Amino acid sequence: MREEVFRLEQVSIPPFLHDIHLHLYRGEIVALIGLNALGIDELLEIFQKNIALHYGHVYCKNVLVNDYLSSNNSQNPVTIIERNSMLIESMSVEDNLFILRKRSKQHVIHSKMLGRQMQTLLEPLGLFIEQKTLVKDITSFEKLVIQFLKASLAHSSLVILRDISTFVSEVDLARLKPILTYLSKEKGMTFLYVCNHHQEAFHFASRCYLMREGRIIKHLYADQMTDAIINCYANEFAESVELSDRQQQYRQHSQIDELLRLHHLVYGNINNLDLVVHKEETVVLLDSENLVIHQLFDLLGKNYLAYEGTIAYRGKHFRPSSRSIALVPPKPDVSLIFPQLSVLDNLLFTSDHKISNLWFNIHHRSALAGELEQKFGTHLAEKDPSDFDQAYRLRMVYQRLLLQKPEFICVVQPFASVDMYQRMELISYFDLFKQRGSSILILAVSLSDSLQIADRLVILKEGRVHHQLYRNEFSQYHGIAGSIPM
Amino acid sequence: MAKRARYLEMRVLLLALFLTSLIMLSLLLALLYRQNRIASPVFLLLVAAFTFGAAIGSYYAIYLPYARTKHIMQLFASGYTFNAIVDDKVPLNREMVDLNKTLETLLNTDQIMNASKRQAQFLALQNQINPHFLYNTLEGIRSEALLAGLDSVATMTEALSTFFRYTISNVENLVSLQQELENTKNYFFIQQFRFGNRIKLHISFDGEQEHEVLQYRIPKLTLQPIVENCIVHGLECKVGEGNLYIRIETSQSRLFITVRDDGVGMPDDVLQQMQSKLSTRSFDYVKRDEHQGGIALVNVNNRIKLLFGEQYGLTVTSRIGVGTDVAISLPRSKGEEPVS
Repeated sequence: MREEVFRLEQVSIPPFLHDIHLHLYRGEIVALIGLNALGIDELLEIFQKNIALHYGHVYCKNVLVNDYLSSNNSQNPVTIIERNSMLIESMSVEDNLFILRKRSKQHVIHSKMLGRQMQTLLEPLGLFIEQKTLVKDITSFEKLVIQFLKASLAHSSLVILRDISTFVSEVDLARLKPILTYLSKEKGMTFLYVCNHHQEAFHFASRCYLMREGRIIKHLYADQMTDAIINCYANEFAESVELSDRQQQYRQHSQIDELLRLHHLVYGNINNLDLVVHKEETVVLLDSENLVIHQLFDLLGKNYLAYEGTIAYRGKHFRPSSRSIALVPPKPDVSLIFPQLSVLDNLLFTSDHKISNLWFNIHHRSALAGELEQKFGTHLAEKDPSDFDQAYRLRMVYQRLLLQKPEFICVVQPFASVDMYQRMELISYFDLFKQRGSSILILAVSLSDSLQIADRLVILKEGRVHHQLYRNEFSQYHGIAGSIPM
Repeated sequence: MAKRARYLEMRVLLLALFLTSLIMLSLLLALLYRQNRIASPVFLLLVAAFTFGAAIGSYYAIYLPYARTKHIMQLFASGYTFNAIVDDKVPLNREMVDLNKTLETLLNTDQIMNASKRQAQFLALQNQINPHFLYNTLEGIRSEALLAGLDSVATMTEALSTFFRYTISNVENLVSLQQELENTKNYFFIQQFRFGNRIKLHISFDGEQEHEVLQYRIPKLTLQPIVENCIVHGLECKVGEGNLYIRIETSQSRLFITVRDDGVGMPDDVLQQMQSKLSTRSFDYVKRDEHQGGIALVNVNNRIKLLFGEQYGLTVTSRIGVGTDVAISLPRSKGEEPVS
C-alpha cells in the first residue's frame, strides 16, 4: 500500500475544470503538463486552499478536506515554488529557514546553532552556504533548494514546482534531479512538477498528467512517457511548427552583413564576451549557468556602461531608444502593456515613426483599428488591455513589434510560462519578423522552443562564449527542456 | 417551533415578522421622539444595530442554506448527485422533505441495483449468444480440433464453461479481485483463440503484496466488460499487435485499477459523450435496447456508485492512435459487504 498525499475526485469548476481525477502518493515526483493554460491556476489553487467547488471531493492525507457541500476556504499544507521566491531577500538563509516559520517556538535566537542546523540540512544536498549569508547574495538555484528545505521544515504535504525552468538554468536543472530524488525518496516529500514541456517533465517525474481545456486528457505511467505518445497529443504543434514549410526559411543563412557586435564585453558576470549578430539572423544565447542574461539585457536596454569592451550597432554606438531596435523583457504581457492606454494605443504607440501624424489623425488610427479588428476584436479604442488574458496581451506585444518593424529585436525567454498554443503563435510571429528581415537575439536560461526559430545557438559558460552550433548541428545539443527542429 | 425553524420557509417568515416589528417599533419611537416624549435619538443606533444583526443572521441562516440547496438541486438536475438532495440539512419546507422521501423510495438503491445487475448479466448473456462471439469461439474449437490434438479443444471448452459459470451462476454482488481477474484472464484466453498472439494481456501490481491485494472485494463483472470493450472497440480494429494492460494500485482507502489498451482510441466527440455519461448519473441506458457503444462501461460505473458511493466509479481518457484508458476507483475493502 502506498501512502496517498492528495486525491481529487471528479472535481469540477466550470468553465475552468471538468471532472478532474488525480492522486499523488508520498515520496513521488509527478508532472502536470498543461497543453493549454486553462484551469491550471484553479487546479493549483484547489491544492492550496479549500475553495468552493461546483462538484467533487478533495482529500489530503486521506481526510476529506473539501467537497461541493462544505468548502471553508481553509489552507492545506501545500507549498508552491515559482519564479517569485517566498524567501525574504534581506534576511539570512538560516533566519528564513528557522525563524520565519509557523511552528517556530524559539524566543532566543541561537545563531550558531541555527547555522549548524542549516549545514546539517544542506550537507546531503551537496550545498554549502556560509552562516549569515543574506538570501539576496545566493544564486537562484540555491534559493530554490532553500525553499525545498523550508517546505520540508513546514511539513508540507505537497510541494508544487511551477515553471522552474524559467528561472533555473539548464545546468542547475541537471543538478536538481538528484536533490529532488533524495528529498522524495529519503525525506518522503511529494512534488508536483508543473511545466509546459514534456522533455522537462519526463526528466524529473515518474508519472505525468496531461491537461487540456481544464480536463486531464491522459495519465502517463513511466512506460508511456515517450516522445511518440506525446506527439499524438501535441500533433498541432508538430504540424504547424516542426513539419510545416516554415522550416525552409531556416535552411541556410549567409552571414555577411553584421548588425550587432559585442566586443570584449566585461560587466558583472559577463567576462570578455564576443558576439556578432548578422542581418536577418536569429541567434539564441543560452546562459546555461543563469549568470549573465539579465546583466546583458540591462547593458542593452538601460544604456549602462560596460566596464570594458563595446556594443556596436551597424558599426556605431548602440542606442536602445531607436525605433529600429526593440527590447522585450521577461513577461512582456505585464511589463510592456500600459493599462492606462486603450488596446489600440498600446498597439500603435511605437509605430509613430512609420505613419506621420499618427496621434493627431483619427482617420489613420481608425483605418489601422479596422485592420487589427480581425485579431483583436472591435472597438479597440475603448478596450482596456487589463480586461484580457495573458494570451491576448502577449499577442498585443508582438503585433506592436510587427507594426514597429524593428531591424533588431532582443527578447528574454520568449517562451517562458506560456502554453503550447501560445508558443505556436509566438513562433509564427518570429517567422514573420524573420521574413521581414529583422535580426533576433534571444537570451535564455533554458531553451524551450527557441531552437525552432534559431539559425545559431551560442552557449555561454563563465560569462563568455563557450561554443556555438548552427541549425544543422542542433541535434548535438542535449538539453533538458526544449524541442529541437527536425 | 425549534424543529420547524430548520425549514427555510419558517426562517423567512420569522425574518419578515422581525423586520415588520422593527419597522413598527422604529415608527413608534420616532413618533415619541417627535412629540418630545423621548429626549435622545439613541434609539436610532439601537434600530441600526438590530437591522445589522438581522442582515448578518439572515445571510447565515437563510441566504447560505438557500444557495446550498439551490446548488444541490442543480447538481441533481444535471445528474451529478442523487444522495445530496435527500440529505439536505436545511430544506425549503416540510413538503419538500416529504417529496425527497418519496424520491428516495423511487431511487431505492436495491431496486436500481437489481436492474443494473440484470442489465450487466443481460449484456454478458447477449455476448454469449452473440452470433459473432459464438461463431468465432466455435470456429476456434473446430480449427483446433482439425489441426491439433484434443487437448487444446478441451482447454478452450473448459475456459468457455468456466466463463459461463462465473457470469451466470454466482449471484453475489461482490467477489474477490482474484476471482474477477481469473474470469478476465479466462475471457481473454477465449478471445486469444480468435486473435492469436496479436493481442496480449499484461497485469501488474504496484506498491503492495500481490497476495494481499487479490483479497480485496470488488463488484462482480467489473473488469470483464471493460476488457471486452477494449478488445472490441480498441484492439480489434488495430493493425498489428495490441496490448492490454491492467494495473492495480492501492492507497490507504482506495483500490485503483487502470485498464489500458494501445488500440485505435476514440474520436473526441465519442469520448466527450462517454465522459458525460460517466460523470453524471442516469439509468436511461437500462431501458434502451439499441446497440450503443459504452453501455457496459456506464453500467459498471453506475453499479460501483450504487454500491459504494458517488465518489467512486470510472473515468475514461482516450486518443486516436494512442489508445484508451479506463481508470476504476474503488474502496479498499476485504469485507463481504461494501461500506455504502
